[in-house]
Amino acid sequence: MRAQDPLALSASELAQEVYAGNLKAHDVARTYAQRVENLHRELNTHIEWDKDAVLNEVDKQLAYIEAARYAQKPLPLAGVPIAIKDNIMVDGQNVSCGSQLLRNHRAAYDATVVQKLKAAGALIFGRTNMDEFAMGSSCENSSYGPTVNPWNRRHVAGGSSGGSAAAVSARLAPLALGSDTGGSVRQPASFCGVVGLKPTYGRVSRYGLVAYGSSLDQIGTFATTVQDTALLYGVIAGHDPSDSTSANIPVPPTSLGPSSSLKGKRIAVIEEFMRDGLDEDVRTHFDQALQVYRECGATVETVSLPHLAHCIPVYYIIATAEASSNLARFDGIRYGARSQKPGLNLRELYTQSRSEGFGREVKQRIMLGTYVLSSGYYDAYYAKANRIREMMRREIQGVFEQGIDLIASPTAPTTAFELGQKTHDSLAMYLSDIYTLAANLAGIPALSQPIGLCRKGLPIGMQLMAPAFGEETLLRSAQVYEQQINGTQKFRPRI
Amino acid sequence: MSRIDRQTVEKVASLAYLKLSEDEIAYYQKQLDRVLDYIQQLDSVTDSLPADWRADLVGPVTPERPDLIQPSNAVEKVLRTAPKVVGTAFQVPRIIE
Amino acid sequence: MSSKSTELKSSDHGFNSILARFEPVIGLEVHCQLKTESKLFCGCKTTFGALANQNTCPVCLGLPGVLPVLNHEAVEYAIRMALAVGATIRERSVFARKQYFYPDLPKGYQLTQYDLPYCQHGTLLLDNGRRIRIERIHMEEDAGKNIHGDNASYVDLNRAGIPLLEIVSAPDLSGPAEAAEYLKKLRAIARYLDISDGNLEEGSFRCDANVSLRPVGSKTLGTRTEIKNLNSFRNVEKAITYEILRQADVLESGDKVKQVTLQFDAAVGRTIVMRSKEDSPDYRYFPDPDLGVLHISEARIQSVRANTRELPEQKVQRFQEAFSIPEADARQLTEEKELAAFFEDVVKKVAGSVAPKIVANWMLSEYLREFNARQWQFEKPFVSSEHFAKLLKLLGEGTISGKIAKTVFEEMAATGADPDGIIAAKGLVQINDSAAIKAVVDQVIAAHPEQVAQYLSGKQKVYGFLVGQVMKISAGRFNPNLLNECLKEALHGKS
Repeated sequence: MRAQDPLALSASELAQEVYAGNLKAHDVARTYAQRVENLHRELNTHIEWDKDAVLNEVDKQLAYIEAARYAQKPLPLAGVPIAIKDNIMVDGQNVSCGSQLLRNHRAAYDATVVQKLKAAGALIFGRTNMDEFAMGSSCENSSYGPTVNPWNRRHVAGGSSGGSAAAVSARLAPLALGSDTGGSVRQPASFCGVVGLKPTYGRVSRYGLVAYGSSLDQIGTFATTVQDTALLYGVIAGHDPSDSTSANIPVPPTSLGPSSSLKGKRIAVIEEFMRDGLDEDVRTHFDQALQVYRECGATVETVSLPHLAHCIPVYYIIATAEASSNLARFDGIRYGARSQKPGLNLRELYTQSRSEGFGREVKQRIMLGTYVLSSGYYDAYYAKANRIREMMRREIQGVFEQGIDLIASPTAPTTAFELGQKTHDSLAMYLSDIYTLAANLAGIPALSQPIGLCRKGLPIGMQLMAPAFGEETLLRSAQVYEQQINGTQKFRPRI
Repeated sequence: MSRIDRQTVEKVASLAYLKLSEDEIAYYQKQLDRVLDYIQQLDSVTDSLPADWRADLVGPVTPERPDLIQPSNAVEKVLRTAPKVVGTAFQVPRIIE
Repeated sequence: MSSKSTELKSSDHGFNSILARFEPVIGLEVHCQLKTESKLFCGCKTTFGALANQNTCPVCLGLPGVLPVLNHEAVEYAIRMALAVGATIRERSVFARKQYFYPDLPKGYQLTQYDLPYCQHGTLLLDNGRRIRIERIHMEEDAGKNIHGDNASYVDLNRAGIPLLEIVSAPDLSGPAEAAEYLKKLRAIARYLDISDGNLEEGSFRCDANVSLRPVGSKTLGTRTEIKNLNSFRNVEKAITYEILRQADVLESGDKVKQVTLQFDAAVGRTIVMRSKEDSPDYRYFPDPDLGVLHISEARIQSVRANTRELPEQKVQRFQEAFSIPEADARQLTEEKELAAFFEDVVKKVAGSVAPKIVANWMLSEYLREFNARQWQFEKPFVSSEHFAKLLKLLGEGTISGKIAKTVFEEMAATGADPDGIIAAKGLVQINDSAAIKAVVDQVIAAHPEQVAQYLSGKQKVYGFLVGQVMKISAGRFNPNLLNECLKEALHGKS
């Protein structure tokens, strides 16, 4: 049997080959480790990449994989390396959230998703770079420097899960996990030309994900194909008693059958999203992608969702309010970096540690969130934002209740912008999230898939949204499209 | 017209236990002012929800776990990497009450 | 069992004259620790006295990424309390985050119920017939403990996350004694319901008092002050008394009472200002997005009601009716749940030979005297109900006299020995042998001719002296009835 190149296989193929004994997990690990070793510095995909430490951990997992194979226990991710965003707990490994405050913080437990990955035979493969505490849309807010776009290193990888997106795009791992509070999986997936899925709120346990906006956060996946996305999603989805917001609803099997037609599927395009600010190049490719969907049997119509026009202010009120509270625990008392300044009293110690540890954007969002929750402002901001959020949720639900199966939009109004272009204007950065926020605010699943390259040669993504717990529809439809365009090989950067 | 003045920035920073330099105060005053100005668009948005509608009352019911003890060894790991520990307690500057 | 402290009142003659001019208005906020096995939102033990931070886990340490899950039993306990004070239970209530920074608060916020508590509008009846309104009861998690050294403080989070009920009365209490009675009754209810050990010293039952004065006859409330953390019934009375005197002083000198939070220094018996109203923190409450709605259905309330326990008031009624004892005795016996149980146990064991009334008398005099003097604990009774019942039975059956019984009980209280053993060892069995009694009677009559003559001439008082002489010789062991018979017979034989 001819030895296969692990880098050339999809995650699904890798798992099958390893489980069948045609490929050694050990070799897969070393091949990928070498690739990360060669590329992570120039792309800045990883935080504190330590090849030996990673391979040491992997060695423990190899024994488990062998034992499971012997016992004929199925391992859907046998020997598949997976990169983990630096805000998800892996017991015994550092977890910094891209922040100086947690630069030496070691996780004391496994996130539920990490437990599931380990049980499925996956190889935990490095911590990926991110905007500090997931606050950002470009990965430039990382205190470990920005991740750059594998397609063009003068451009951002997107954020906040930029490290994970770039790592999968550059094939430093076949799979990666990210977190998505307002588009932090889908937007970098779009910028890097990979498939990014944000599942329904409550579908994947948040236990062990460092909270940003608790009512919006959801762990999501990165892969190069829809098939691999479904594979990873199938492993991490499901009820978790440790997460009170986890949905106790069975997960339907996610193995995708052979391509079927999209005949009868109705796709809606939101009128309010197709106005100002949308790049012409992106619009053209989006229209072409819709045409492909039509060719596959779907119909496309336009709907109006007026409240969605306000998703940016609603999102930034709710997310920052929750964040200001979620980040209160970072005080340098029990963990994290404590200021070394001598002679501080208790209050000064708190203030100094937090001021030294948090970066500029994080402080800004903490302050915005503190402001909107402070005495006298709650009703005008937080309560009001929640009411409009509910109106948006109802509008979206209304669309699905009318028989629409999917809502489509570009994932982002532009392709990856240049490094430094928006770092001095928070508002401009916030505006780039316009298309992705609705899915988080409504708690529905959404997927970004690559649909083309712009004139600058940067990937363009298209977003599909489905009703809550409609991941299967999302994945099946996206897969039909992917097959129609003959796969995603063309969305691999030349590295 | 400014939505947020210097005192407000300082008050909010103090509530959040953050210390800002002069430059930072100026920076955040400008940034927050822009963002709050943008957010102000919500003032004109109306909704058709009942006046007493509350997001926290309409949400799903919280699950309840059985009253069982689940041992954990996390504290040993936390104490090992904690900034300052005496015995098994976290040390902080003396609290004056 | 502490007796009501009245020394401050009696020592200060000014107190009553102040009450002639001012009406105190007092409300109590009571924190009652629930004795569940595990904490409110995690599976850590709730036991007292463990090594610092040993009863902690990622959740109650406030590590990044953790999530709370509500303890079912704590909710059941909370419902019991609500039913016991006849309160209204809200079907859907909400946990909020109360945000402030303090080392004993690991998340930077406390999970507590804010404007939507699970319970409202209860009442508690005082012995004087006044109904004290309970405005609300809510569930919340306890904070940890800061221990203060000379140069540093130390944080122990064992208590962090233990479930509490906060029970807030209306300002219906009119004085220190009523406040103490209310608190005692509330504690008795919590203990009868088996939801709290009500231990004030260990802090499982804590009390804050709101105190204000208004001129007698006035309807408007005066400015109130809040005294924090009163940890004994005695201190509740002392602190409130002091605060009434202090406020009266302020008002009479023409000043205004300032709205402040106070601490009671028990050592010097004074209240000290902790912070003024201007410093009162902005807690920025908002609903916790990590928890859903607390749902208490009518069916759930009914099932708790069906398993309800007898309350102190109900026991008072039952004791009066079933045992024919006066209300005052019934109240005293039911003040502590264990005392009432002990009483009932003894009554059952002596049924048929000793009337419950006799048992009650013995309990309230002899037993309680020794109990208090020797500081016995209910948990491990020094004199068991078996021994105590046996003693009363021996008395009832005439084996020993009342006087001997008291001697025997004193011995039991000192040594913990079996009454039979004591009686045998000391030869205290009652003598019912008429011949033996007659012999001694004859001896006494012979020895005291003068007294006999006095008796026979109509001086009835001398009879007692003669009985005493007989008893002295018999060491109190003669059956008193037989002794009477024999002595009278012998004396009348003389006449």
